[in-house]
Amino acid sequence: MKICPLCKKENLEDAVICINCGFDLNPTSSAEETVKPDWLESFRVDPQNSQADPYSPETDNNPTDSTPQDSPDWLTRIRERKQVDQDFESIQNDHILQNTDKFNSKGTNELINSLRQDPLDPNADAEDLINRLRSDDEENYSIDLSADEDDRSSFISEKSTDLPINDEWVARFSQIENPSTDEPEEKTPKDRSVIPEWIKQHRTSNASERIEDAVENPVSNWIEKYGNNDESFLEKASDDQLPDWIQPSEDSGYENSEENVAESVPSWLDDQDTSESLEFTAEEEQSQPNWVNEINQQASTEDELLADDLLPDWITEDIQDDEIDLLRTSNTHSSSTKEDEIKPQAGSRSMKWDAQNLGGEKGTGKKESGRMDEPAPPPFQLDQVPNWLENNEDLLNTSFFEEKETKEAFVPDSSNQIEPGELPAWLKAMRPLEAIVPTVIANLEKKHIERSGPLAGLKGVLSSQDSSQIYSPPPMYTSTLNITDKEKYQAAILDQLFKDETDFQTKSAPKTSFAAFIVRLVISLIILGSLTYSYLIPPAYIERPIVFPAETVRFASIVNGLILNADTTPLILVVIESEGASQSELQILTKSVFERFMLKNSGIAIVSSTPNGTLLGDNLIQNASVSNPSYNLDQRVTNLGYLPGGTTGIQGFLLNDSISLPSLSGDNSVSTSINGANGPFSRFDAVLLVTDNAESSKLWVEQISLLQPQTVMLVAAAAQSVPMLMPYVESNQIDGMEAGLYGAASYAQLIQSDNSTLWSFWNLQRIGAYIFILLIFAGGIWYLMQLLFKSRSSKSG
Amino acid sequence: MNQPQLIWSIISFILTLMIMSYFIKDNPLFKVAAYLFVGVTTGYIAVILIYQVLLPKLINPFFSGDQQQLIFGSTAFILCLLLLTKFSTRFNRWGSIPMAIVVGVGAATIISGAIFGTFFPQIGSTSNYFQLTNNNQGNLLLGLYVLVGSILTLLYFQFTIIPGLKFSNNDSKLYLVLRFTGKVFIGITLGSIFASVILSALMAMIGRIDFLISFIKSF
Repeated sequence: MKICPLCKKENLEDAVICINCGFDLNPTSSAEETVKPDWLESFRVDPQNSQADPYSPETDNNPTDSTPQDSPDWLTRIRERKQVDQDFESIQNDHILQNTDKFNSKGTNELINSLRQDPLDPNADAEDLINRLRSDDEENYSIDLSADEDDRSSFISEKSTDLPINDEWVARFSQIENPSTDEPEEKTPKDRSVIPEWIKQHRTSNASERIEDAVENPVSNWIEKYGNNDESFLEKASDDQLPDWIQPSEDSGYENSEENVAESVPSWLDDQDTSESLEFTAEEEQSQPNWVNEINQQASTEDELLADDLLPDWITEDIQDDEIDLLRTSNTHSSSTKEDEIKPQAGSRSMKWDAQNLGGEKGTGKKESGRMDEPAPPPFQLDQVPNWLENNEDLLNTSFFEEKETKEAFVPDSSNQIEPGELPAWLKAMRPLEAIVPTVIANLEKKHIERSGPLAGLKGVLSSQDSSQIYSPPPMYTSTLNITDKEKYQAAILDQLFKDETDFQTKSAPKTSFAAFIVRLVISLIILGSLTYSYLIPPAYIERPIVFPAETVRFASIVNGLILNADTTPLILVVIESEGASQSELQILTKSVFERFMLKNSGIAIVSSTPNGTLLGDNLIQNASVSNPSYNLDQRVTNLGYLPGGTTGIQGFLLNDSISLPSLSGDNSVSTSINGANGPFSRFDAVLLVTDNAESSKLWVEQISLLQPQTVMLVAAAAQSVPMLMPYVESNQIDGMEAGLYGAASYAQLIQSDNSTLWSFWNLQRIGAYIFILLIFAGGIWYLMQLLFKSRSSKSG
Repeated sequence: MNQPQLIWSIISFILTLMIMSYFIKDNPLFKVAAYLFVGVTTGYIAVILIYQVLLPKLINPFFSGDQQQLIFGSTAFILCLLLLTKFSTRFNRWGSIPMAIVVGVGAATIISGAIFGTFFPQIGSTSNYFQLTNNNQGNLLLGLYVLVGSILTLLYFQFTIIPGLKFSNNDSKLYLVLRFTGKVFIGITLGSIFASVILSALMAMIGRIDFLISFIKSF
């Protein structure tokens, strides 16, 4: 049983081709094994090494990471070759002869090295790259040659129909995949379009071995060895060792082509030769799978069309170029990673693209060496450019292998805006964008590498960060607003609306109705008239108080005790807590009291926690002294003035603090007695609080009951402060209080005082109180009447 | 009546009429008189503060020769300077020192006076009505009135809800009745205060009427 090396299917022992995939099971393969070079054998010894990716960046960029013992043999040879290439850079001229000698050597490894080191053979690089690209094609597109025939044929047919630029490559590929086992004997050695044996071996080997071959460029070396340089080598080679297609053929149109050996052009790349070589017999076509026949037909047709372009210009130019850049040879593999990025994967199947790619590579190499300024030709021709790129002239005229030019070509031009092309979905999925737009590669290189966090080490994973770096604040523009008259008028209306809201407007008093004005005026006239009338004609029906309040009785008792029972003249502290509004009432309240104190020639000190209080106190004393002309105000009365600090000042004053003591005005006996005492406050026999302010009076009462509880506390309070001070009378914190006019009248009754002003005010107050009571009742009745009218109107309505 | 008294009596008479013009309506005469009183009062207060506070308590200590007065005067002067920094946005935080002293000391004084001068004495005053030893059985009703009035007034100002305390409908109705009764006591208190204010205002008006009639009679 024969096992197909391609699809691993079992076939009969005498089978020529695989019944499954149509693979050629010709026993020539055994002969090929005999002619298989040693270098290829050496590469296939260790199949595990072939699994390694020779193009991995780690291998190329970090060759010293792995120890020589750990690295595979092929990698070791690559490194050795690199080292040798570098040595060649330093001794370029001297190596020419040395390399010529190596050409004559028979050792396979030496031959490979000598060929790769040959500075006179620039085609070796091109051939290597082509083979490498082929192997890359297999990897990139995952064409498993061992897969089923249907899958493969469908895949290729799909690619051949969808990809507009891979027809030629497919044709080439078909030539490689379906070589004619019956090669015409007349094929000349230059007819290299016929599938050589290395391709047969390449076909029988697995994908990994092909990659391995691509790495080491055995194809180009082999081609150079047999068809390019050394004729003696051909003579030395036995017939069984030489491929059939190398045998000279008289029928070939290339009889005289041996003279052009120096061109070193791999003739199998010649399309014309290829088209001539692709002659399949009927049996072969029947034995071939359908998809292969279709590809062959299409390829042959296109090859005929390309008959005029027998050889790419770049090949000829490269061959005739005497100055060969050794750096290009040395950098072929070292820059493989970069080439992979630049290499247009989608178009790599085109042979023409291969040629242009090589040219581009050449340009790149020359650019690196700094000896060539000519831009590389575009990778695509117009007839091979897909539809979505046909109209994009900028893109077509761009050299994709020079980054600067590419970037400039892709800078959006404001004068020629180009609509972004719509790529087919399948092309987006399989096509690496960098193959067409190398700027993407540049952008990827510019992307930020995360330095910390879970994404550390990853490049360009945070797209938002890149966006924030790309976008910039919008530019500033100046513009002129043209306003019409109508718009100005409307703006003025709007401005007036806001102006009415923002302008300060004095609020006038709410307008009252005439009835309300009349009512108000009538009430005022009634009060004024009745009071004036009562003042001018005192009513006889007003009774004087008969029942005296207890606090007033105590007040009178204390005052009498101070005057009558004291051995010495009393010293009274008069505290005025009023702003003067109740001056009339307070004057009535205190007049009788002050007159009593003046009868005993008592000393009086005035103090107030309000600035106006001291002035009011002086006025009260002076009014009371009218009826007592013998009383010496200058000597017996002193005004301590304003006591600042509120509660704190009161507390300090009660604590006999000299700092908080008010300034003493005048040099009289009272001041002397106060200053001579241990404490100013302790010298006073009683405190008379004259107040119409309940709050400030509470402070005095609280502080005196707290700090000087033994002090006699008398209060002459206006009517408005009596309700608030009455609890302190109930708690005996106030010893006696003259509460309002009623208290003053009671006190006058108690002391049998004949105070005409008091009784006049008493009468007016009684009349006024009656008027207020009547007005309150009148208002209540008016309010009830309004309610009744409203209820009736609501019921009737 | 001598000449100065006559002049001041005429001024007082005119100003009194200007104020009483408010009986008719609010008018410029009333406003002029009111503004005049406010201005005069402010000026008088400023003079009082300068001559009775600043000079004797802030300036004179530096010239008194008394070391104690100098120390207290210097302290007050520094605090006043710190208080002036309130006008500066940069150094206004230094003005917080005297403000803290004034507010803190004043608050402490007021609180202590309110507790020991009002709160405890008032509680004692309320319980005095129930002291049988005083032989004042006649004031028992007054004591009950004060006690109930105080409790119901405090109940009226109960605006919070005790957590976990659930009132039934009857309880809530009783609570509303008690609060309403407390509101009645509050109304009586405010009514008495209002009546007292009316009486004081009436006394002020009577005093002005007495002045006007007396002034007119003097001629």
